[in-house]
Amino acid sequence: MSQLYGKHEVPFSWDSENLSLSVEKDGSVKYKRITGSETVEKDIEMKKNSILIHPIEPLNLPKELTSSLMIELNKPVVVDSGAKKRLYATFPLEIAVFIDTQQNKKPLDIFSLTKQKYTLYGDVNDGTICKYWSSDPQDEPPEDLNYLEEGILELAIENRSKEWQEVHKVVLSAYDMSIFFDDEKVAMSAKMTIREGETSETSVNDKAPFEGMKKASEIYRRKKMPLKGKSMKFMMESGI
Amino acid sequence: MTLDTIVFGTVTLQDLVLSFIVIFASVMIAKGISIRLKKTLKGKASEDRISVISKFVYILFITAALIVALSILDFRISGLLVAGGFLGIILGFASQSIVSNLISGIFLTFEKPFQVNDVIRLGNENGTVGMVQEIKIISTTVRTFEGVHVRIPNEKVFTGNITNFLENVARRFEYLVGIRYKDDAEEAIKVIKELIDEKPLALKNPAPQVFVEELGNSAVQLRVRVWAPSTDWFQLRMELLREIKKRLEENGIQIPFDQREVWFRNALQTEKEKKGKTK
Repeated sequence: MSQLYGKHEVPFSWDSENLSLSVEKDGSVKYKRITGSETVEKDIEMKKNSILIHPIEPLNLPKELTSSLMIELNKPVVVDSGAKKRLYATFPLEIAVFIDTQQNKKPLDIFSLTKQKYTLYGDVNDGTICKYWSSDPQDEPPEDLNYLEEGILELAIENRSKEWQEVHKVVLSAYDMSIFFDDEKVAMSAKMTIREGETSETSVNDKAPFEGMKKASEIYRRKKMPLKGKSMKFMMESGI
Repeated sequence: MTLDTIVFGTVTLQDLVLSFIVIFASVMIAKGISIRLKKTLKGKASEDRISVISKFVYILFITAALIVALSILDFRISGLLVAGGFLGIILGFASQSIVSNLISGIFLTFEKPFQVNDVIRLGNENGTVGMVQEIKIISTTVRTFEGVHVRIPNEKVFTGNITNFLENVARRFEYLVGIRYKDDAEEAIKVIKELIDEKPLALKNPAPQVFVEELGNSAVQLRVRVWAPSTDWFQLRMELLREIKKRLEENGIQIPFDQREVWFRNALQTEKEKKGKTK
C-alpha cells in the first residue's frame, strides 16, 4: 500500500476505512475526496502533473478561529523543582492537499478525520479560544496510532520554579508549529518551561523528534505571521 | 533692504522671516512627531485611533506655533484673547455640539470601549445594534445587521450605554427545553449533553450545563447553558435548539403541549346523550 503523505503523480487514489481520495486525469484533472458524509469534488487545471499531501497545523477546521492548540493531559504530570521531564502525548491532525507548484502556498483541500472541538484557556475576559484535544501522557512514544488522525507530540518540560508543579495541559501556538512526517508517523517536538506562579512558556521546536522525518508544509505560518514584536511562543499565564 | 527694514507697524523683515521659520519648523516637527506617533502606535491601537491621536497632536503643535509666531509679529495676544473670547462665545454657541462630539471622540479614543469590527449596541435594549465600521473624531459609523449604514455623533455614543458583544472572547446562551413528566429527565440530560459535545463550537470549557430548572404545569423544564466563541455564538444558538428537538424525539422524548385536566363536580350530559333521550 502506498503512503498518503508526500508527493504523488496524477492519477492517484487512496482508500481507507474513512477516507476516499482520488485525483484522475480525464481531460482536466478531477479531484474527489469523501470523508464521512462529506464529499468534495473539484476540476483542476494544473501545470505539473503532481500533487502534495501533507499533515498540517490542526487549526484550520472547522474554521480558522484561533492560532492556539490546547492538549489536555488525561492525568497530571508532576515535575519537581529544577527537574526536567520528557513525555509523549498525541495531537490531532489536519491534512492538506496542494497542487505541486513553486509557491505551493494555497491548499486545494483541507480535511480532518478527528473530532473537532474548541475550548477556552483562561478567563472569559482575557482568555484565549483554543482548539481542544485530550491525550494520555506516556513515557514512550505511543505506538499503533492512525497516522491520518493523530500525531506524536514529544514534550520536554523543565520546571524552573521553586516548587514542584502539576502539569494538566499544554497550549501551543500555531505560529511556530513545525510538523514532521515519515511513512509511519507524524510528529512534532515542543518544550515547556515552567516559571514561578504556575505560568509557563511553550514553543515548538523546528526539529524532527525522530530521525529521517520530512518537514510538512506550514500553511498557518505562511498565511498569518504574528504582529511585529509579538512572540511566536505561547505564554501560559492562566494555569498549567 | 536689510533685515531691520520695517515692513509694517513695528514689524521688521527679521520678525517676518523669524515667524515664517517658526511656522515652517513647527509644521515640519509636527509632521515628524505625527509620523513617529503613527509608527510607535502601529499594532498597539487601531488605525482609526492612531489617526485621531496623531491629528490631535498635530493641531496642538500648529496652534502653539501660531501663537508664538503672532507674538513675534507683535500681535497682542491679550487683545487677541479678548477678541478670541468674544468670538469663542459666539462660536461656542454655534458649534456647541461639534465641540462636544469632538471631545467625546477624543475620550472614546482613550477609553476604547470598542474597536472597529466589534459588534455593539448603543443605548438601551432597543438601541442601534451593529458592527463598528469607523471611529472618527466627530462620529462613529455602524453597519446594522440589516445592512444599514448608521452614523452616530460621538457625544451620543459616549454618553449613552455601550454594550460590546465581542469584548470578551466567549459568551453564553441558554434555552429552556420542556419534556413530558413520563420521560426520563436523566436520559434527556444525557442526550442533550452528548449532542453539545458533538458541536465543535460549543466550548469544552467553560463546561456546558444541563439541569432540571423547574417542575412546570405541563412539562419538566430543562435549562441548557452553552458557552461559545463570541464571534460564532449565534450560529451555534440557531442550529443547536433545532437539533436538540430532533435528537430528543429520536430518543422517544417529547416536548409536550400545554395541557390541563378539568374535573366537573356533576357528570356532563353530552349532545349525543341528549339526542338519545329525546328519541
